[in-house]
Amino acid sequence: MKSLSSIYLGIFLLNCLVWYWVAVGGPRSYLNLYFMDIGQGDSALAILPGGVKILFDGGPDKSLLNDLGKILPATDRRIDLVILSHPQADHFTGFISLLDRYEVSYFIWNGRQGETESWKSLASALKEKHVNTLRLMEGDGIKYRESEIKFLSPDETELGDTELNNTVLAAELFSGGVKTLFIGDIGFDVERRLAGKYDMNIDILKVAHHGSKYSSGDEFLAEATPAVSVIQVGKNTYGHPTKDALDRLAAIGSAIYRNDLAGTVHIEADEGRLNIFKER
Amino acid sequence: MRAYDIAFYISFSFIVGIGIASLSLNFFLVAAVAALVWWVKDGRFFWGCMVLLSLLFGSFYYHFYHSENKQNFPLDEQITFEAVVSGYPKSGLTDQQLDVALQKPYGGEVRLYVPLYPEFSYGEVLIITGKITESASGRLHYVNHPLIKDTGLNGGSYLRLKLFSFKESLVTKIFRVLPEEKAAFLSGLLFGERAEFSDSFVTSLKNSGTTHLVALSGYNISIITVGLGSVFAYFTKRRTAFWLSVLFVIAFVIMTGAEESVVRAAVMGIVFLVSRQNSRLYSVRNAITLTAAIMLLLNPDLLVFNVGFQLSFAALIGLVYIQPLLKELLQRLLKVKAEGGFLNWRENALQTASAQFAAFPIIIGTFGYFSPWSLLANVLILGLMPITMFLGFVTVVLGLISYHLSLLAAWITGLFLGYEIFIINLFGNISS
Repeated sequence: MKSLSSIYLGIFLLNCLVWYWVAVGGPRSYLNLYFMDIGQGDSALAILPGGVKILFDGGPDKSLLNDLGKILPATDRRIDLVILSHPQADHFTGFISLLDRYEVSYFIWNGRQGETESWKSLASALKEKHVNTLRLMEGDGIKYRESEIKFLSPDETELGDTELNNTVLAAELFSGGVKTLFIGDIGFDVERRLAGKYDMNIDILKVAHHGSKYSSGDEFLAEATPAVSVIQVGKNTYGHPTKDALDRLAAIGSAIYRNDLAGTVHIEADEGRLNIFKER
Repeated sequence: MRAYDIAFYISFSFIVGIGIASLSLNFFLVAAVAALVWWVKDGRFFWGCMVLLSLLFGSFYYHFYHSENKQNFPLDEQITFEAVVSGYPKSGLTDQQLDVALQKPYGGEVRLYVPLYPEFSYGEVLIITGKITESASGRLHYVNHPLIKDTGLNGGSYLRLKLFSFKESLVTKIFRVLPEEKAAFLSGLLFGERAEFSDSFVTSLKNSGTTHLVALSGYNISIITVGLGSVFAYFTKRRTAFWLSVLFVIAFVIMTGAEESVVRAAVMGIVFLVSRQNSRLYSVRNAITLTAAIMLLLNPDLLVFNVGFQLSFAALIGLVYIQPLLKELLQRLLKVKAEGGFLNWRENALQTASAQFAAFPIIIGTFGYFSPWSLLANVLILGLMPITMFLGFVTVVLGLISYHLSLLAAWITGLFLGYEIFIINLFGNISS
């Protein structure tokens, strides 16, 4: 009799657990942005109000699995959109391991083939897992409830450029009442074109090229005026982030957050208000 | 003289002989000292000669082994060679580590550090172009980021290939239901897979003195054996149960790749169990010496050049010889209880202390520091290890049957894993 009642108790407790998951697992009503501390490379997760998850770039290795494991519950193994800025190893390598552990609904890229051995591994992984792929460029966009993504580059000439950093699929995210700009590794030339063509005025900037001195130019920053700038940077031999870039960001009064100093940077955006959390 | 004493002295002098050769000591000097000690202690001529012969054999065997397993390749020179991936590749968070066996005209083993992708697997035949470098200690040869061409051929053993892929599928079951950090820790506990640990976690393990938990040590294996033993004991006689669980451990060892470290752990785990079952001290002494002698027969380099080998034997000697002394000391002189307590923490503390006491000189000598918090960290964790490993095992087995059942088991396992990771990080950060 005693063992029977403990079985009932066990079942009851497991029931509580499952209902607890159902209760707290629901989507939030505000935007959650995570600029993940994945070393020298880019990777940011956006969870839109309503629950759609978008991953902007995958970082240089498997580190993003560690960060995703901390952000998402163990049962949540779906990423709705994966957006690759451009086919360089420090931006796409993490996607290969991601495909092993997570179900990815759409892989969005600029259509430009990568030139390294690991790119072939990504291509075969995408094929093997039957991931839908979409080639997008300037002028394309995605809408979900009140959120929207607009792609600002590349145009035809940029896409054919021999410099891969100029082929970046730049994405402007409107969500949680703020504008966030993801611009991969673009340099002065593309920055200037974007600043000239679009009304930039943004709130959060994923600083271009890990704080390289050939990015984040004065003209562009004067147009963009981000309140918050996040530099995705880790240990490297290039001297990133450079003093030049940091000075220019400081000159426009932007608050600078660096992954190498702050760890993962988590931003909640609710109707234009920002809450920013540093991991360390 | 009794047979067990003879066996002990002969295998012990074989070990000493290997020690002489690997440290390049003067053989005749040591032999003279040994002869003198023997004359004073025992004095029988025939057995004295046997001991000296065994000493000579150990020393000879060391050199013989090295002439047979010669490494044959030029250092610091750009060469192209064919090699077979000879062990289970370690795919870490940032790079891959491959151990390959060189094919003719070259010979020996080298380690390759290569990017994460493309991924390589056991048995693949590769054509490698690069520079072989010697590590600072001179014990390891490696090639950094060589140019690799895959021939598409496979030169591995069929059995190992199958067992590796079975293990891989079990590890995948863990990662499917637990978040990355916990999953990595659990696969360390159950399978000794450490490749996917983050750098900060590895540092925490080191600083808190808990690395042995994930090294698939004799400890883990003895937990598996004891656990299985009690399950089997429910159905059969105690003695049958013991042998059944030993059989299971052997199967487990083959599955994890039968790599040197795992074989050592299994032998140690079994010896540890025997020593617990059997309180006659001479049999434990003999078991330890014979195990060491057999392992050294397989690879005589272990004795002087492998810290893992030294640490596991030191720890075992601590458990067998120092623990009873400490226990007596506590009970008789200080009138403190040395058994029981919540989750048997007193015994765990005593075990950790004795093992560390014996390993202390090696730890200080090799690593140059000692983690002052390790006793506390270990006591807080060790009591929960058996249940954690059991639940982890259940999670994996359920994973073979049903994802959702496995998920529930994983949630419970995750509570324990979370606590243990928290303790490791806590003491890891204090000590750094």
